[in-house]
Amino acid sequence: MDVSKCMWTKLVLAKPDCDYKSLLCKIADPTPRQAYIVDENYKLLGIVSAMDLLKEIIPSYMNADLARSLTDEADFLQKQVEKVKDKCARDIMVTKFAYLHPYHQLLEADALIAERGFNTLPVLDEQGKLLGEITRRNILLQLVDSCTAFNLNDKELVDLSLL
Amino acid sequence: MFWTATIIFLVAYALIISEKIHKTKVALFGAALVLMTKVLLQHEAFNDIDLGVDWNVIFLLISMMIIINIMTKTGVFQYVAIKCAKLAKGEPFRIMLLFAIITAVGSAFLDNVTTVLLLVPVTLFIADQLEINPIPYLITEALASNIGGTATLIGDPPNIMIASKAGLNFMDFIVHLTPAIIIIFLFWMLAWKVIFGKRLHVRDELKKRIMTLQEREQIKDPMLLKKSLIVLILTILGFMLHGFFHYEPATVALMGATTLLLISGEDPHSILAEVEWPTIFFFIGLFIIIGGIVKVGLVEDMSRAMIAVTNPQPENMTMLAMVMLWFSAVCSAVVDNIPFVATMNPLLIDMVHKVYGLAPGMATVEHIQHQAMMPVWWALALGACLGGNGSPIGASANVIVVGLSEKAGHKITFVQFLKYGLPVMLLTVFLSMIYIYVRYYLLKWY
Repeated sequence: MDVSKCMWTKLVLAKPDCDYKSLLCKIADPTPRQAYIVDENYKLLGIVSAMDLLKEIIPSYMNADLARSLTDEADFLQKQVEKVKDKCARDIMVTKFAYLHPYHQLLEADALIAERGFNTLPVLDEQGKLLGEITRRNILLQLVDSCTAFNLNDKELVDLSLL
Repeated sequence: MFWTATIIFLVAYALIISEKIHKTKVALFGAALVLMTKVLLQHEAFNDIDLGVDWNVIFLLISMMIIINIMTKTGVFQYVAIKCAKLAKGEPFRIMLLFAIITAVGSAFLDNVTTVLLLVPVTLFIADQLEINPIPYLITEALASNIGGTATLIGDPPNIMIASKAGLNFMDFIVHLTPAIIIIFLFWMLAWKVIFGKRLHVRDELKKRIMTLQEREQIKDPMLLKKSLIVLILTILGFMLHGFFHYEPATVALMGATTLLLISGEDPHSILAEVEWPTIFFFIGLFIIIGGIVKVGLVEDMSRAMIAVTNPQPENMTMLAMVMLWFSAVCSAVVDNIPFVATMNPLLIDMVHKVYGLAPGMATVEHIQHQAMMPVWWALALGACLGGNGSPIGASANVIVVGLSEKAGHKITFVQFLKYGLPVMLLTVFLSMIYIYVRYYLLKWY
C-alpha cells in the first residue's frame, strides 16, 4: 500500500520565525509529536520535536545526578525558559531528516521506522512540499485493519489514579 | 632503510600534527609500513625492549583506565566538587581555587581527560547557579589538570613513558616532581588571586543557591565507592613500594585493576569497552615507528646534533637540562607530547651512551640514572607536561574543555585560551627552570 493512502494530513505547521513559547504551545497538545517548519509554499525546511524543545531547556551539562542535587527545580526551569525565550524555530529545527514520498510502500516506511527508531516521518512531493506524515500509529492501525483477528474494541484504558 | 624509516617517521609526524587523519590510524599504518619494509622485524617490534613496543607503558595505561572507568561510575568527583563549592560558601574565587586543587589532585592520580570530563559539567552547573561566566573556571581546570598530572608517574602519559625508559619509580617522581608542582601551583594560584580575586563577584542570594545543593545525591553506589577507594589507595601504596619489591608499575596497576574488576560486580564487557583503545593502539603504532628510526640511526644523528648544541659533560649537563626543558615545552604546546616524548626518550638514551663513552646497548641503570642525567629526565617531564598549557591543542584536556564549553554555549576561542594558557605555560616552565637550577645545580640536592 502507498503511504499516501494512510498518512496523516492534519499537521502542526510553523514559520521559521515562530518563537519558542509558541512552538511549545503548538507541541504541548497531546496529539502532535512535532511541528513542521515550512516556507510560504509549504516546502519543508525543518522539524521541531518535543525532544528538541526539551533539549533547549536542559543545558548540555545537566545529567540526572546533577538535577537531583537541585532543591528548587521550578526556579531553575523558569530561568532556563527565560534564557531560550528569544530563540525561534529556525534556531532549533532539525534540518537533516529522513522522509518518504507518497508513492513509497508502507512496508518501506515500517522498515525505516523500525531500523532507525523514528517516531514519525514526513511525506514530501518531489519539490519538497510537505504532504503529510507517517507515524508508528499509522502503521499499527494499518496492521490492525489488515488482520481480521484483531478487534480494535479490545483496548481498555485503566485509570490508575482511581486504584 | 635509513630514508625509508625517516620518511615514514616524518610523514606520520606531519599527519599527526595536521590532525587531518586520526592519529591512531596514522600511527598504526606507519607501524605496518615499518614492518612491511622490514625496517624493523616483527620479532623486534613485539619483543625487543629497546626497539619495540613498551608493554610496561601499554599495560599501565590499560590498567589505570580500568580503575578509572569503574571509579567514575561512583559519582565521587561530582560529590567532592559540589561539597567544595559549599565549603567555599559560594565565593567565586574560592570555588575557582578549590576546583583547581581538585582537578590537579585528581589528574595526579587519575587520567587528565577523565578528570576534566567529570568536573566540567559540575563547573558549568555551579557557574549557572551563580550566574557567572564559566570560561575562566573551565580554562583554569584544563591548566590545573596538566599541571597536576605532571606531579606523579601515573599522572600523564609522558611521565609513564619516561619512567619506563629511564627505569624510574613512583617515589622518584614524588620526590623530584611533586615538590616542583606544589611550588608552581602555589605561584600560579597567587597570580590567579591577583587577576581574578577582585573581578569575580556574585550577589548573596546566588551564593545561597549553592548552599542549598545536595551533594549526597551525586553518590550513585556507596558500596562501589568504598571498594574503588580501597583499591585505589592500595594501588597507590603499591606504586610507592614497587621499587622496593622490584615490581614494574604495570604489575601493580594490573593487580589493582583486576582486583577492582573482580570485586566491583561490574560487567567486564562494558568496562573493557570503555578503555580508550584508540589511545592504546596509538602508543603501539608510535613505539614501532620510533623503533624504526632508532634502528636505522636517525635518533643517533639527532643525538649528535643535540650534543653539539648543548655540550653535555659526564658530570654536568646543565645546558642540556635547560634546553630540554624549554624545547619540550615549546614543542608540546604545538604538537602532541606523546610522540614528542616517544622520540626524546631514545634520543636521551643514545646521548647517555655517547657522553659516557659506552658501546651501543651497554648503558645500565647507573648510567641512565646518573646524577648528572637525572635533571635532564625531570626537565623532559616538566617541559612536555607543562608545555601542553601553551595552546588549546597542546593537551587532550584542553581540547575536551574547549569542546564541552562550546557545546554548553560558551565558545572559547583559540586566542582566548592563549591569553590564559600561554602566560601560565611560560610562568610554570620558568619556575621549573629555577627549580631545576636551584635544586640540582646550586644546592646539589639530587
